[in-house]
Amino acid sequence: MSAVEGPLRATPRRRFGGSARHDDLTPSGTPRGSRRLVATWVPYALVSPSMLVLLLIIGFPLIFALVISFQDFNAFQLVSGGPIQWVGFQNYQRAISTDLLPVLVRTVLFTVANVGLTMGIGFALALLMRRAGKWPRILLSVSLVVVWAIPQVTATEIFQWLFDYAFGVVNWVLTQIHLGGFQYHDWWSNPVSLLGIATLIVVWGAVPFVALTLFAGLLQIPDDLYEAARVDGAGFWSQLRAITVPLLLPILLLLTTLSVLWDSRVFTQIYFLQQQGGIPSDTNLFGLWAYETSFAGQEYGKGAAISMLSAAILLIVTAVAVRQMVKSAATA
Amino acid sequence: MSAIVPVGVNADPVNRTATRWGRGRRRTSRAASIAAIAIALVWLFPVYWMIISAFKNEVDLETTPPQFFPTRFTLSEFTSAFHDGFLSALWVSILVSLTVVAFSMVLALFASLAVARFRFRGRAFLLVLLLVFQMVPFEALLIPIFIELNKAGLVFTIPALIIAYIAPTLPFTIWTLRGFVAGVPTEIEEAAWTDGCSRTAAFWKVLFPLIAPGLVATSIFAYILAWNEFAYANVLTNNADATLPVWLEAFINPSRPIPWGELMAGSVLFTIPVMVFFLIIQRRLSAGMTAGAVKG
Repeated sequence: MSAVEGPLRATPRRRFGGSARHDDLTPSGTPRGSRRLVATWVPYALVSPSMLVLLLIIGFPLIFALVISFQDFNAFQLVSGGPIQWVGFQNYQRAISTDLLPVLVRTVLFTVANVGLTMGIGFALALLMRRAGKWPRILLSVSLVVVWAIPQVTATEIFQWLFDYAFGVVNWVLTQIHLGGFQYHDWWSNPVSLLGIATLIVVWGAVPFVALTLFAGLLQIPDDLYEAARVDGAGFWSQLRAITVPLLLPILLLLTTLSVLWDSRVFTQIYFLQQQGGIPSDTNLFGLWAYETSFAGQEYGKGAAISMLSAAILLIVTAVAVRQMVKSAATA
Repeated sequence: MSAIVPVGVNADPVNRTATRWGRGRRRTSRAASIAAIAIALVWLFPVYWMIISAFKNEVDLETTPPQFFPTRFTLSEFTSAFHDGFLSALWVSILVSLTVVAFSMVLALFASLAVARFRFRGRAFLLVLLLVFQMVPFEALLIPIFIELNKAGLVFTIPALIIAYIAPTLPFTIWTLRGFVAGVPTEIEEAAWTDGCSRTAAFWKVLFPLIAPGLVATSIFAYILAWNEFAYANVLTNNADATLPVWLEAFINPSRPIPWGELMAGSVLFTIPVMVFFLIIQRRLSAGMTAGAVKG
């Protein structure tokens, strides 16, 4: 192979001043078919430490999780290393027969609500920033960046304080505007209101990324397009439908997919709210259910089975979304 | 750890917009401006509330109606936070985050060079594997990692947490760095070889300075990931070496009144480094340096 290719490659190599040892460093994206002996071991040497670590702390644990999902693995086995019993699909059956359906429905509804609100508000804010004057726009984008930087833990604790039953600002404001007697209203004992506030926290923190990314996308659309549409008598909605949405479609799809991934895995926010008096079994999403089954209930086998189920469901959903994205990117 | 961005950090909206603002001619409206200001204030209110609650005089903190514009300020909530173990949690958080960043960055730099600068058998498979690793739900990993660390007698120690954190951080850092390395045109290195540079020298003298901002940005992202993480830390540490998020969570205990002032003071201290780091990468992320190198 190299005998044929040798003379053909002579010209480009001379342009780069190449002696033989440079050949292995071929730029990615321009395959030149040069596979020299020097080349073969260098990249492998470079990736092997990372790959080794990743196999040890991701690959192996994943297989191990699959294994214990078929075992009766509880506190006893954990502490004593005691005899391990293979129980077949029993963990899966117990997961499916107890909480699977409510948790699945809850996770789907929570994800849809969070993704919908985040994308809707984010898009609206991006459009608004396009129309706002210079200083209001800078003020809004700086505010969004500040909120974007707030850790989930901090965000949740601020909202817990805002919704405090005795001295929370929200209860005071709601009572003040005569929406009812919200003094000493407890937001956590009701699963719907707990998840509602979790949604508020998630959306508050997630909108900045979506809004700023979409705003950056909007700025790539030439103003002439809108000018022309306006001359043709197109109103706000038809401009949105005919220009903005189609041109932003790839970004919109990417952001939606990411949001689905993130929001279906919301953990910290709900966990913190549960600690303040929520009922875990009525407010758990998939991740929390597996976490609490394993580490509060010490049923590691069942917890692993739940993780496997949720990973499988998420994989199917994402695969569909990614395929859709690739398809629309191909047609666009 | 869920806020991992597989698209890479290059998509920095604020900086990209900065260069576009000069285009002008966009129709602005007064109503939109007023709405933008109002929304900015609403969005910032929780942050404002955290800050003033942290500095409020204890008497002014829990009042009806709430005090929106306090006049008396005190640092006593911060002092109580320090008394209740803030510093030890801070030390654990810094130690864990820095070690995780150091490990993942060294490993990721080599791996990203291989993936971005070499073509080799299995490269495509590796890239897919990295994406798949980023999609793995954390609790599916936490259970076996916890059991294995327990077997090794490491659970409830700081090394346990460091090992566990590399799992989500490393795929992300490799993926992001790969983008930065690929963003530097190979022609620049090739020019260095022409001038008689060895490949290693070309890497250190040419490529490394050009990807330095990318290294900084990726390190900061990895640092923030480890700094903010709660779920792993909650399981893998005990009270003696809790990280800051676990320390903060311990205040939320239904059996006794929550000391909101102290909690907000702790949250402020916890958030400040993240805020500073975040603003640094907002500026640094622009690819201007590379662009200049190509032109010049």
